[in-house]
Amino acid sequence: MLSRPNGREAHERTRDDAERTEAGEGAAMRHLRWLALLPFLGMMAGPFFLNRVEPLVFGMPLLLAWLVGCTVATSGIMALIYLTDPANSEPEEGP
Amino acid sequence: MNGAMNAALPIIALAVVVALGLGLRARAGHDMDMEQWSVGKRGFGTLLVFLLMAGEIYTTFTFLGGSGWAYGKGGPTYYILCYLTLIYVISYWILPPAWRFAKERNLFSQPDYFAARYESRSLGILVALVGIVALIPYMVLQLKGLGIIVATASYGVISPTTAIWIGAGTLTVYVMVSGVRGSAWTAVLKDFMILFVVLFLGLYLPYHYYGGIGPMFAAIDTAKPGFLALPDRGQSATWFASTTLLTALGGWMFPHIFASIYTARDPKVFRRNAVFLPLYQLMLLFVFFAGFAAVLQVPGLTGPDVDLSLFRIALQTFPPWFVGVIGATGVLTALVPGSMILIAGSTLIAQNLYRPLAPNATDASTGRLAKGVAPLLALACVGFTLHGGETIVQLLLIGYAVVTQLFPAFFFSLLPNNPLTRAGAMAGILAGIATVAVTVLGGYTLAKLFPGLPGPVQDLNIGVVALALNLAVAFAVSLAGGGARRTAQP
Repeated sequence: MLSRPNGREAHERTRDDAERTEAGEGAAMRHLRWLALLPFLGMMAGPFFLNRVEPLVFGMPLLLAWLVGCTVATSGIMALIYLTDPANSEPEEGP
Repeated sequence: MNGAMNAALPIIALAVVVALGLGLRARAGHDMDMEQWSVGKRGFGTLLVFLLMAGEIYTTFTFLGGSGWAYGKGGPTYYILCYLTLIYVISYWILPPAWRFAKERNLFSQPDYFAARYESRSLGILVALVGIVALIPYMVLQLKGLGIIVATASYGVISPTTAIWIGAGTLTVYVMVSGVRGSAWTAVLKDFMILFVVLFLGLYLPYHYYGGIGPMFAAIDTAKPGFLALPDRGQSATWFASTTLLTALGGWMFPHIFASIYTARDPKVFRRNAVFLPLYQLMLLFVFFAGFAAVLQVPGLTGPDVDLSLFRIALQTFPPWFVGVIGATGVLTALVPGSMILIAGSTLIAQNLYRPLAPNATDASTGRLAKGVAPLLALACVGFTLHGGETIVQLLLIGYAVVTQLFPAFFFSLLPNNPLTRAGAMAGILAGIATVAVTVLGGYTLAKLFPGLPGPVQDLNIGVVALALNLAVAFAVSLAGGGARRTAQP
């Protein structure tokens, strides 16, 4: 792919580079997207370790409370990803 | 009882009339061509797409099925909260490229996408058939819900069968006059009502009967130890994790949900919604609370009857007019997704089954056909509804098992170098569907097929097996085909 760049790939690369310099730590910021794996981990692995009713947390069974916590955290993680994603500072693509 | 009926039924009837009115109003000022009818001219902003997506996912399933499973199964119900949250995490990355591709090529439906990406008309037809098969249980569960709601809220004056016929008729008229724009505006009304009703029920019932959420869970835990967590076998942690993942992957593959991608004005809409929609899922928590409140108050419902639990406890707790408000909300939760399903299903039949076989078809004639097919599709779903005994969640899981088989072909089509050929994609989908058909019809589970496997492995959702076979066949056929890359690039 690198040996024969077509017009589109070349264009994408310059766009990426521009984003990086523009956003300062753009590259580091883009790694934040991997945080999106945490909700999967929390919700799919959590039940193996926290499959208990007691103690009740905020009145809820422990497992349910954990999953609710994961849901709230998911929203936070997605907000962080959204705010640091260079794609969202581009102009709208609509008609 | 006559007096009681008079209070609840008019409120439900009013909701239906208001929904029809909104549908008609939404149509004003827009030419109802095919693009407007099925994808709203691709002009919806963040809020309308939010409501459409939330509207499709907050169905009678959420309302009756979620509370019914909390009542009947306990802990395993929590998976619903998880997969609905994860669906939106996935959406952040998969919807924008799919939207862009569809917009450039002016696509209407989900099979259009597959046909264009793999440059294969026959793949489009296959995807259309899979979509229709998956939509039917989804539609049946809406109609079943409608039947339950109207029959209960009418205090038995209207039988569930009559209610299902009235519901299907209303849906059809609604769809034929309004299209997807009407669905989005009715979703506004529906979401306000469900938000209010669910929050109220989820807090009032536990406080009224137990003195609080904590005391309620403590009482249930004492009466039924372990009910609020996952069992060690059956719907265990392994089942929970595999089912959550499968349904989260499959969610976007339902034709009506996929088509809602096309309604957006701009891909940023999806990224923004991926932040807010997970929080919105917390509404489910209150649905669970209402279902759990019923456990010790209206005991004894089993099998498909668990779906009645929310209404049973409502009847025992509230005056008829409020039962009417709950019923009206329930009817709207069936109407919005039901109309989306009918629109998507009819579009599939007209655009992706009829059109490839009729080269002379125009946009106008395909659009007319789509609207003509809607009543027939509704009729077929009524037939299935009156002859099945499954609970609402079981029906949904069957639909998901079928539709998830489209995910591998979709996912790989988003990669810069798609490793799947069109033959590979088709073979994989066929292998996955065949596995689902055999296991669902034969009632097989991993435990029955392989008694020698360790316990936790046996509890894996059988859909995982179908998906694994799907992937294996897709890759084997693609490699055997000499790796001819025939996928259209964006």
